[in-house]
Amino acid sequence: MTVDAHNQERFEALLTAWSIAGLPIQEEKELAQLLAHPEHRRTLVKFFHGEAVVYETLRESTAVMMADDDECFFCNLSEADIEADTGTGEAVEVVPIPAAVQAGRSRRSKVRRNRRRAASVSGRDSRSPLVYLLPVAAAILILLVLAAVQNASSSRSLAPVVVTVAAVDGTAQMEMGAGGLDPLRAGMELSSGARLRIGMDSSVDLAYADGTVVTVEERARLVLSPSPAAESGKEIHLLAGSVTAHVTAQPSRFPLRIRTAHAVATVLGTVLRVSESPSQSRLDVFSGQVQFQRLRDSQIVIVNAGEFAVTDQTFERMLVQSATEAERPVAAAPRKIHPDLTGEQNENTSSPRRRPIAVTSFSLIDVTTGAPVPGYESIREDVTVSLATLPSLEINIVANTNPPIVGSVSFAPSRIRSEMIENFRPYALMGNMLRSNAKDADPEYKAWIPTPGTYRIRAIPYPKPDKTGTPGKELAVTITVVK
Amino acid sequence: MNQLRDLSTHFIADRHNLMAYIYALVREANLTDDIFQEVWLQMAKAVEQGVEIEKPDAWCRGVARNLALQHWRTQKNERLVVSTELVEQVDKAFAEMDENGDDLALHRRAIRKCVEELPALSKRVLRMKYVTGMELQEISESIHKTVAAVKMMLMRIRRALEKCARQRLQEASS
Repeated sequence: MTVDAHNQERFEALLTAWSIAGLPIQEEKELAQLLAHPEHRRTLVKFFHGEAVVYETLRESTAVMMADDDECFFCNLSEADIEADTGTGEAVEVVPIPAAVQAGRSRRSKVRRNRRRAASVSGRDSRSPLVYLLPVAAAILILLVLAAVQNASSSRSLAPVVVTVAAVDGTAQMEMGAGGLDPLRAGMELSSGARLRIGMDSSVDLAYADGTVVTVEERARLVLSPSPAAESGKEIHLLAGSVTAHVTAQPSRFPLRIRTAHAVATVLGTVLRVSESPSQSRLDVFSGQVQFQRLRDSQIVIVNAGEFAVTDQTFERMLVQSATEAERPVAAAPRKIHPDLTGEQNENTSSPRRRPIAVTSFSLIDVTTGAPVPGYESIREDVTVSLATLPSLEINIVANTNPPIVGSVSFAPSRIRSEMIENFRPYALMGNMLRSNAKDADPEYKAWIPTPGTYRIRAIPYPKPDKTGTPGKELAVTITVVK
Repeated sequence: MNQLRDLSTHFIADRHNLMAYIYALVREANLTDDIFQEVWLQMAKAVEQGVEIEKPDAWCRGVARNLALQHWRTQKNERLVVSTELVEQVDKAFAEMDENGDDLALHRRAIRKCVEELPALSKRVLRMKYVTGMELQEISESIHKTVAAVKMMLMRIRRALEKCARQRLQEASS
């Protein structure tokens, strides 16, 4: 049974669209029906093997760039990316080979040349290549096995120890290369370049020799001091997720640095939390003072205790806002260090304390003034709104949360609009533009012009930006608009 | 212990297939990675508890499927949830591959080569989607194009990669 060309084309189009952005239910059903054909099922497996390879290849090339760049991996990434668009996606362009790889290659080819020359002088050229290839292959195999054994047991002791795993709550692993993973355990010593991945609902405390403790939160990924140059101080490349650092006083020449894709936080002694999401980085400072530099334009802000800063490409200037005690996220308290490391008992190995988050009410906002509409400041249940009594027909709906600042709020799709995710307060259904004049940022709300009808509004709070983390308590109300 | 070592060796050798299966279920690279690792941890735990795993490929896919379902339930991310029929067909497709033992290594190698040859912007957009895990909206803002244009671009790139891989394989076989 063969598939006709039209069917095949339709199947491939649906499969690609499904993989990239999902499909409406009807088309998803059509795709499922087309998959009844064995040929299509084979195509699907091949396609997703391709997807996994695309991801693997790109991730590896990113890792090569990271290993090759001591100064600023993320800066380089964006510089390398800002190249001319060659258009169709089918033209051929050779990827520039990083200098270190080039050097390695030339070294290897030089070794090969010398080996050939030596062989030629000793007259071994007349023999079959197998005669000396076999011992070489055997030696390589033995070396590989030894390297694997060494890697699994004690390779970390070869490089200087940077940090000790003080406590592990849940699952966390260290990447071992070639797809290998080593579960993290309390007391383990980690060296520069170690790549860590924290599992769902898990966290890990990393202790530096000077008493600094970094709590790595769930689903975070990071690299410890990836460059030898960074070993003079402490450096963490946060690839995703959040870390909370309780930093002891640092020598000014060797501060702790936490890098993200968008910014770098330089710390001399404080308590702070850095969160990384695809679109932005956020720094919360609980005590002390931190220098926060946006990598895109090198803009620097000083963030004091009780303030937070965010990088976001939509803002010209970085935003620094004060947060009241109630607004601040809770800094994860580090657990007691492993008894083997301090001689103390491990008294607290539970998860860091997290304040429950919730959407507590909605407010109708008069967009022309930016103020809540009197009588509709705190909507907690179904409500009827008369257009005749509204001061303006341009309104917005804001979700009020407890605590007042959360990671993000998602408004479920409604008759008013499709899903809306707000990462910054105020969390407005129609969105808003924060004026980027630093601390006194006032929102400029976008407008919704209501018409009579019934509208169901549902908002879900999340502890992290971009709708990530465990969702908090949602609130749903029905707003009935009448003339 | 030997069983865990053998299973781990098999797990690493078969990782492409499992990654592809998980990706087909969740279609999000970072989540695929998380689930992939979680599967290995669960396998290690199962072996510790004395569970005999006869068909490791099918066992790992079963665990991965449960983890994906669990993730959908907790995240309530409607975009990623797919219909039961579709999940069943995906299961069937990968189970058939186990039996037929199609050699996908050449196809993977060809795709890898083709990715390396992509133009810079295409690679940048792919990196945003696959490595950074950005949404289409975020990619569109980043490269100053509409969401529809980004979606079209990603589809074109993906189709071009398949075409390129097919051509490479044809050239290699002729």
